[in-house]
Amino acid sequence: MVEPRIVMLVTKVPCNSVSKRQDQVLNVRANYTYQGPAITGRLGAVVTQKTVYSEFDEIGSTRKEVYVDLPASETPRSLYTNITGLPLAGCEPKAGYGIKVYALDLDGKPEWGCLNVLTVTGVAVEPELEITSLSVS
Amino acid sequence: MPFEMPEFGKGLFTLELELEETELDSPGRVKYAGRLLIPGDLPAPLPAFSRVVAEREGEEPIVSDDVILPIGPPKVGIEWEWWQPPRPVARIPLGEFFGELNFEEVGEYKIHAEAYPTPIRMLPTLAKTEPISFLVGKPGIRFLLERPTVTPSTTVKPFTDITIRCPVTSDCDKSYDITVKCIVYEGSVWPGHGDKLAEYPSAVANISPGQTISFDFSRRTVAGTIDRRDLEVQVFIGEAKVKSSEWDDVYYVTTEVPTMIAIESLALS
Repeated sequence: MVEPRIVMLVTKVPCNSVSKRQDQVLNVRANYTYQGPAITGRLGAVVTQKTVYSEFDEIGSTRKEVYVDLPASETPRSLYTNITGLPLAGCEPKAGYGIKVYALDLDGKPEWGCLNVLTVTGVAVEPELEITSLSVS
Repeated sequence: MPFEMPEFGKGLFTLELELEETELDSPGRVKYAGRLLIPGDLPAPLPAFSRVVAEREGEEPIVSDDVILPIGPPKVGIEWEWWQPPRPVARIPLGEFFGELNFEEVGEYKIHAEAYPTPIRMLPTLAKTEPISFLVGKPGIRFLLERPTVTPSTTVKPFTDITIRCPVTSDCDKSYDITVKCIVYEGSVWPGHGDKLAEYPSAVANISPGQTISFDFSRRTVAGTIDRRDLEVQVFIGEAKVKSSEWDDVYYVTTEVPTMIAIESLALS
């Protein structure tokens, strides 16, 4: 007998790489096709990191979701949606972050992502030297 | 042959019916009044129910609401409340009933009244009037409707373009300019139809006696709460509706909606 188990499937899709500072935000443009009735769905994006347990371990503080009005279409229709302003403050400065995009309010919870596309750098602290007084002897 | 309840009160009760008009030039309302009498032509002091039925060949009859016959006080009574002086008031006379029939379509009707001991009409009738012929609109207007057909298929998915074809045959005595309206309803597991989804009026068409014209209506199907679709076809001469018929389950739209979303690529910035 096969034991039931939860299998997480993330479809990998092409994506460019970017480097961002911790105090910046990440913008994601999702290009997709849609076929079905006119409905309002949700698209979400979240920064992920690879761990021993999961390839796409989500960093919750970076999550952003937007509502999308999907028009009725009999055949797959190309659309895009911008998910902007993913905060990166909760990410440690390092390379190798991934990104995951998912759809809600549709059939199931389909997920797409890519690995090693985001490098987060720390906010550089500028050395400051202020001379408060001088004494001459 | 439809089952007819035996007339239980035959000879005991007499039912009378009067119509305010003898005919109508166009569809409209007609007032009626009637009375249930016992031997000696006395008003029947019974808690009986009455209704009026207008029948037309090949159509569903028009049936009035059941009216309970008053068993109470006479035609004029006295109403008195302690804070004001007594005053005479008109009441419905004993054994009498009245109401209104609404004729939406032209045609030749046979109207009769029936009286029952209960509103559920499981018991024999107490009395029935002889049918009265009643004409609505001009004589000689008669149209025949066939069950509409749907192409390319009677079972389709949502977002399918279909054509609903409604054949109308004239059995009139002369040519008329008609318009046809096709109304699409969701079907229902209960008698009757569900929500109205759309209605499609046709252009004006001239139809000669004996001629059949098929009116085509294009529609893109939509998913609903049930897969069945009922259709109603109405025929108009000018503003007057002269014929209508409804059919159940003319076509089916599968309730399963194919929804598919696929991310092709992502662009980060």
